[in-house]
Amino acid sequence: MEYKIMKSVMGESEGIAESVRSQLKENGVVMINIIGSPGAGKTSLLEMTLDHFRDTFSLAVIEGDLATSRDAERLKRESLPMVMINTDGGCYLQPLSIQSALNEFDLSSLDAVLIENVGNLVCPAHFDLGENCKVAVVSTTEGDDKPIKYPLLFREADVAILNKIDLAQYTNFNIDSFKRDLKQLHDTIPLFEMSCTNNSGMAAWYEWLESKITGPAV
Amino acid sequence: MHEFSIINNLIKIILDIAEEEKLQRVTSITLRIGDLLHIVPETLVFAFDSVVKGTICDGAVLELEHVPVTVQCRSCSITFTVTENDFTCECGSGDVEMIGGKEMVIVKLDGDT
Repeated sequence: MEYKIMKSVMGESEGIAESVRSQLKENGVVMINIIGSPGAGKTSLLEMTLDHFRDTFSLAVIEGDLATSRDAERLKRESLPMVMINTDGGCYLQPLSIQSALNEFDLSSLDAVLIENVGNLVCPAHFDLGENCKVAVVSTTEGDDKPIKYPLLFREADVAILNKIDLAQYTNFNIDSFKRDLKQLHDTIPLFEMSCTNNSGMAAWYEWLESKITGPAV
Repeated sequence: MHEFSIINNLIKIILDIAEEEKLQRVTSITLRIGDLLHIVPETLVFAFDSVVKGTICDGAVLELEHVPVTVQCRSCSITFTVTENDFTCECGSGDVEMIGGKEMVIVKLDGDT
C-alpha cells in the first residue's frame, strides 16, 4: 500500500534552526556562520575581527573543530565568551550543537556570535544553524575554481571573502575567472578581497559586519 | 559525507510513520532531492542500505527523484532552469530567487501491514 508523505528530511533540524533564530532575535544578537576550506584563513579572519571590534561590540565565538582545540587556543582573548564544539570527525556543525552552545552565553549581554564552522566547503553549506548570515571564505592558494565546484555554498552565502590576496602573484590563481564564476553563480553577493596577514582589504569586511550587527533585525 | 546523517533523519521519519500506520514491512521509499545539494546517489543508497539493516525497511528500495535547479528572475519575473551553474537570466540580470533545487522531501513510501 502506498502512503503519501511530503515531509522534509531535514524538518527536525530546520525546526531547531528556526528556534535558534528566534532566541537570537529576542536577545538582539546577530549570528554569523563562517564557512571555508581548511587553511583558507577562517581563524585568522576571526582573530583580526575580534581584535578590531574589541572595544566596539560584545562578541562571542563558537569554534567548530574536527579533533583539536588549536583554533580555540588561538582565539582565546581576555573576557571573550567562547564555546568549542569538537565534532569528533563530523564534517559540519549542526543546529542542535549551536543551540546547546548558545545556552553557555549570556545572550542579553552580546551583540553578535561568530561561528567558525568545520573546514569544509560541502557539508556545512547544507545546514541552517539559525544564523543571520553565512560567510564563505576561500583563499588564492586554493585555486580559482572553488565557487563553480561548490555552488551550494556560494549560492547560500551572503558574502564571499577571498583571502591571501597578497599571495595571488605567486600562484596561478586567475582572479578574473574567479569573479566571473562567482558572478554567474551569485550576482548580488558582495566579495571582499583581503589579506589577514598584511591587514589589507579588511576595512570593507569590518564595515559590512558592523552594518549587520547594528542594522535592523532580520 | 553527510549522506549518513540524511539517511538517519529519513529513517527516523519513516519508522515513526510505519509505527503510526502499523506497517510490518516497508518496500520502497521515494525521496525528492534538489540538484543543487550535490548529493551523491550511490553514497546515499549505500548509506540507506547500511542503516536499514535489521529494521522493517531492510530490503526496501530507495528511489530518488531529482529536482532541477529552478529560479525566478527578480527583474523580468521569468522562471528558468539553471544549467551549468549559470544563474544569469536571459534578460541579463543575475538577481534571482531560488524556487527549486534545494529541497529534500520524502514523497511516499510503500509498505505492508
